[in-house]
Amino acid sequence: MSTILNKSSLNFLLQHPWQLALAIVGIALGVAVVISIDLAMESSLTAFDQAGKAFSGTATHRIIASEGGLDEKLYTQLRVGQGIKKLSPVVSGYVQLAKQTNNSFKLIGIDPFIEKSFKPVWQQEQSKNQRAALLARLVVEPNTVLISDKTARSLHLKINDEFTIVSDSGKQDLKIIGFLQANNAISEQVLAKLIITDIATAQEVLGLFGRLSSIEVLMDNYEPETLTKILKLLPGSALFVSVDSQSQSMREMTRAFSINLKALGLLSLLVGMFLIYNTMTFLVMQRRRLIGCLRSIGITRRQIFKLIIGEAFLLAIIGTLIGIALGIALGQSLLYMVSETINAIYFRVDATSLIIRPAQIGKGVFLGIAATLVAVLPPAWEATRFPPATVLIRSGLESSTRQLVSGAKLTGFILIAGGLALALSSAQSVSWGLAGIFIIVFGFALLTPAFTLGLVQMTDKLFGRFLGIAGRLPVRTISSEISRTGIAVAALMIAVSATIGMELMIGSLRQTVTEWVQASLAADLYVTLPGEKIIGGRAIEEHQLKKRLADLPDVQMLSSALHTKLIANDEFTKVSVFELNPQSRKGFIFKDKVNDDLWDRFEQQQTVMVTEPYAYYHAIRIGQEILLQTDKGKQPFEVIAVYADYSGDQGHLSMSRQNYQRYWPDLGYSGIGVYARKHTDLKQLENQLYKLLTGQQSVKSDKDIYKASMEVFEQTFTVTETLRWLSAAVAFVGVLSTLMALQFERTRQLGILRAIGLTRRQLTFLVIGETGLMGLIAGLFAIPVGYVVAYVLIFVVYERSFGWTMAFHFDPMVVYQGLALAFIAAVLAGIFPALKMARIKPAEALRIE
Amino acid sequence: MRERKFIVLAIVLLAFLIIFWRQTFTFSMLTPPAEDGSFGQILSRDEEENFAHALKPRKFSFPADHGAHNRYRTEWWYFTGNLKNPYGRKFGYELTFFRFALKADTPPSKSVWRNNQLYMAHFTVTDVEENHFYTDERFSRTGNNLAGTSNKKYQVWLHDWSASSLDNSDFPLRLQAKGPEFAIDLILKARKDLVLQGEQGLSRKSEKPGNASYYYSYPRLTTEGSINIGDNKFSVMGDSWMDREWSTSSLSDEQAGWDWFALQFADNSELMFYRLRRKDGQQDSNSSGSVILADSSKITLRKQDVKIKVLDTWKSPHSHSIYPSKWHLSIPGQNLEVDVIPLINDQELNVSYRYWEGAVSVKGIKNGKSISGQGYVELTGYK
Amino acid sequence: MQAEAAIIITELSKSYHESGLRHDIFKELNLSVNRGEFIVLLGRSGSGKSTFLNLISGIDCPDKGKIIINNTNITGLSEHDRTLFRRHHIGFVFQSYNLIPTLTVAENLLLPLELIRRITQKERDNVTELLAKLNLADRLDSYPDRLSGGEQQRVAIARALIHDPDVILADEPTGNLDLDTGQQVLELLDILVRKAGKTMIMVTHSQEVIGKADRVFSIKNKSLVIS
Repeated sequence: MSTILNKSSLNFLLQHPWQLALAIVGIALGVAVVISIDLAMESSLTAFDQAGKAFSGTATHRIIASEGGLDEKLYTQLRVGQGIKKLSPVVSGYVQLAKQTNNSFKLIGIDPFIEKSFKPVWQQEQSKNQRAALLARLVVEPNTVLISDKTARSLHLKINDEFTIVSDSGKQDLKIIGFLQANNAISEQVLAKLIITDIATAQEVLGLFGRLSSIEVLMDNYEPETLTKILKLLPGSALFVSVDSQSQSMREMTRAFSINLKALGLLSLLVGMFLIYNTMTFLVMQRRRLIGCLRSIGITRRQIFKLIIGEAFLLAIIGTLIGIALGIALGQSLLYMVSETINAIYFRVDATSLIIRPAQIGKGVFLGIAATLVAVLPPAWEATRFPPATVLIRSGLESSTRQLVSGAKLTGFILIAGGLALALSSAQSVSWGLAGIFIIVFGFALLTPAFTLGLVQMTDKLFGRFLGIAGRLPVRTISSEISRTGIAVAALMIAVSATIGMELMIGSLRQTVTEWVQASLAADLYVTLPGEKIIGGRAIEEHQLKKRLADLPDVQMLSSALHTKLIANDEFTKVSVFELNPQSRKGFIFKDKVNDDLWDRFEQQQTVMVTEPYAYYHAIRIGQEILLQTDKGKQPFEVIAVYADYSGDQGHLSMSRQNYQRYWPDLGYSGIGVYARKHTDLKQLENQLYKLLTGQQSVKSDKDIYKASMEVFEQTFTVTETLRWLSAAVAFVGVLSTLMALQFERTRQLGILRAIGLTRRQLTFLVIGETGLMGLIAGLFAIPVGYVVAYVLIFVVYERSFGWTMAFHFDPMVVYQGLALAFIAAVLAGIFPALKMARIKPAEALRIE
Repeated sequence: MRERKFIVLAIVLLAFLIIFWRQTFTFSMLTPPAEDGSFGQILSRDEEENFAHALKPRKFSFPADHGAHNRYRTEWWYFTGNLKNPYGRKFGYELTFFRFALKADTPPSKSVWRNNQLYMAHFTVTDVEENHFYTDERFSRTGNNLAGTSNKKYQVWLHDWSASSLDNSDFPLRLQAKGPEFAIDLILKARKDLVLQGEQGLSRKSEKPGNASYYYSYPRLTTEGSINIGDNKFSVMGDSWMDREWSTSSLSDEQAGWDWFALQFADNSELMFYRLRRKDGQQDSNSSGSVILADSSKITLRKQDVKIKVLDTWKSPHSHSIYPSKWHLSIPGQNLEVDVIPLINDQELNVSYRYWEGAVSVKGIKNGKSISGQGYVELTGYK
Repeated sequence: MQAEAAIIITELSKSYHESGLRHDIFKELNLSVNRGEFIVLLGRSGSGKSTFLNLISGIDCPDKGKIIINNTNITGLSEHDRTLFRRHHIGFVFQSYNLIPTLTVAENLLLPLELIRRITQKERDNVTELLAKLNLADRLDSYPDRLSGGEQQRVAIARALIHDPDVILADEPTGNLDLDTGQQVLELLDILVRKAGKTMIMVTHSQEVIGKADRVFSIKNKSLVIS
């Protein structure tokens, strides 16, 4: 490539710093959003994976149990009786700092004398003598722990300092005797949320006497003998799983959630692509004369093409690098939101900071560069079509643009139809459903120029006289520069329609969830009994508490729930065990008509009811049987009803307490519903109840629970909310960039207007009027598009992702907000170019050809 | 010009990726597992006075005294033996259970894991024909019945390794242990009665009172059972020796280690002698032993009664330590002159505590007649 | 028609900067133009003819000196006031017509009027009439890019006159036109401007125009010299 040619290209780019900067911002934002979502999602899952690795080391398998854990005798049977060597017993649970109750840690009790081949992190202490001494102290001195030096620093603690934690069993002072050494960034993050201690201390602190949380197993290769021995002794409430499959199923569980988030990331990138396309088109059009000259002196089409692609590549690299840095920063804040959501609807993750992996970065780099190059192909190709040394008239270009507009319109219709078909026929696949939405939105984006043209021409006709000639100018500009304005409007439309669509969807879900929560809350007061459910002491105390509650004079009746897990299809399945009363039975919203004998069958026969997501995921219908693992082998339970539940997307079963106690051990209660007699002072009753409670137990009114539920709901959508605003930001940059380009091209025309006698202020209004009108058009068009998006989200994607059905709830506010958003964004984006144009001296403007 | 710019950019990009790579992918490059910690180090520095001490002879009571004495810091159950299969193929074995009190007391707790007794066990098999020495080691805390002893009968176990009485007292005793590629399952019967070593079972190890152990032996246990090596199972017979010892402190600071001989002669007599070596290279005056005659009567040996001459040495290819590998023992008082030769040289245990413990053969002259024998020698503190 | 001065320029200086160096265009230039006078300005390319017109119209500002038009010192006015002054008193004809491409011919003509006041029906009729005079009656609703160069320039002249300004500034109005069309345009200017008694400063190279001018200047040595 010729150096002078490149220099001319570079000089040209540098003469348009704003355009360059905005294009780079566009790429950077798109890449940043994609990367940050990926990083945040992966980090929370990796934290979960790696936290396991920190204490189980190289363990390949794991014996896990539901609530209540494993009997510690199982370990002795396997280790002493069967002679299985590579086993590691673990007792774990969550504790909070007494001083910062929102700061929770996973307390992990291990046996320091396990096989060294596990290589857990706590064995990787500096020198072997120090390590041995530390481990011995863990055993010998009760309540001694190891924590990461990072955590110690953040809590201002040193070796031999004590700190107080709160667990289900109360407060306890723990003494730090050593630090866990992180050997890399990932383990540093993971260790920051762990407290390692001896198994005896863990049982004492957590009150889990006699129980193990899991037994880690290391099987070198395929060891059928070991496997047989373990399976022979495995109790009905326990599962033997491979560590890989566990982490796999965890990823599987969050897949739908993850896909939804990633789709939002891609949306930003898509909007970013519009921006890049726009900028590069501008930079090519600006040079049509230059390119014509170059062609006339013998530069080939191929060279021109390379030149443009090269420029784009340069922009892509700069934009991508900035995007990566930005994405990492953004990812950190997303991480909190993502982990909160995962905590709320899936499982407990403790992600503290971002774990950056080359794979994710690489993906971002690839997407950034690929998106840029794809977006730049049309203008690059267009550049090669410029005939040598011809001065082209803008209008000539525009008339060919008009052909393009009608072509785009046709393609748009085809895409919308295709996208709808894809979404509706996508069966269980969330990805295809979302792809359908993308195609639909893209199709609408292609319709945007035609829609814009139609609308401005109508405006001109209907309101032209009213607007006056100066007022007609912005209207005319939009239609005459449709190749440019159309894209800006489309980008803005995509962002706004996504906003409207998601807002409508969230609104519908909110409405549905509100109704559901309100229906479910039948009792007057709820006593919550948190903590690990275990056989024995605590369960007995809970029974006593329940009896005392029932004996209170103001209490008419009680209901109770125990949330635990049972094994169905070799998987843990959440099960709610209910003791219901006529009042609480009304809290179920059934998806099908149910018979009158439902409740009798629920109590008397071996039956279960399933939630809607459960039925959806497992393709279970009423009348089918679910096999549940018990100590007496697998037992069939007939499904007698499907009911609404929005508490998670994996779904669960519910069964009567009678049924449960026939096969499984008593684990006490998770919560007790209290129904007061008529005319009871609830406040007073609450105080009475409160006096009966101990430790972490608490009493909440139905209003408290409703409020808390809705808070969780809103929190679940904070990620979505944030991402939506980010794509709106990209769109904003897109509009800004387009307007700048547009105004720049019209500098001379604006100079003439100034020469004729337009004041600066009038010029400013003229430009802002133009952009405001574009925003309004984008907003108007976004309403039906957003409606379609909401429809597909509600009836296709969310039903498939989470198994939730909901009613479409239309909130006109959402439409107004969308319209306002588009208009305000466009007006704001117009201010800068307007001021810039007004500042240009007409004398200079006139000199520009 | 442009190419150069691209190269620079590519390098920047690459550097960027490498930095991330370095930051994040060290996890897969974990430091190789450190050798297991020396558990000698974790023997608590808890004050000696909190423990019981072997100060004076005690009255032994069995089977209770076959069980653990948790008030003393260390204790062991030591089985060694020379075995042969019907075709005369020779094997040696060692199965030892050690108990260490990490602390004198255990605080009360509802958790069965709260226990300060740590067990360690060593298991070796010497395959003389293949010139191969197999070793394995186990550790466990006592909690949750993972290791321990019974005071109702002779029973000591650590995970699935055990020495356990078949009836409800002591012998016959079954030894079971399984390493990665070798195992034993043996029945031991006492041919000779128990011998209280030292002064009625009190074995002094230095001048300081309390630097002593309680020590008794079963010098000849008829042994029958099987040894597994790889996929091969060998029916074996032979004689074993068992030592039981517990103490709180035994070696003094000046002592470097000991050489322990447990020899069984063809004339149905046995010899036990431990030579305590001082750091200055001299033999400690507390070295002692005993001769057990065919009728089970015991003659105590003092340091001056036994002369030991090292005839050869062997350098371990594993630890590079140099061990004596052939001795000449003379006990003029017994008219005994014998050479003691390891069955194979490499019987070094490279476990958390390194020592040499191996099967030996004995040849020499007793009372003018030639005599042969077999036994075990233990060498500690060699560098 | 009085012989009083429509434009008085005193000690006008203008320079521009390029790569840190100052280049003077005018230095202490003086000129007085009488009402109704027709001045032609000659000069080599880049001698500053267009700048001179821009200064008079208030589009550009001098470094020093005064420009007084109709007793108003426009160099003393604010940018905003200069724009308003221009709106009322100046008509501009450019070499490259400079019609607004997104407005029709009629709208292009009405725009200057609209900037001054609310357009009356009478004015609309005037525009139609004027265009008819220019033989453009049928192009009323056409967009400029459908017109030939001569037609566009005729519209541009109409636009410069529509709001009845005192001073017409024309920057090579025939520069982009062929001889015949240029002839027509000049005739038009002659009729509409001179006959209406308006003051006009024109930059041109046309000998024919020079012949019709009251005075002919050229820019030499940063000042005006009578040719």
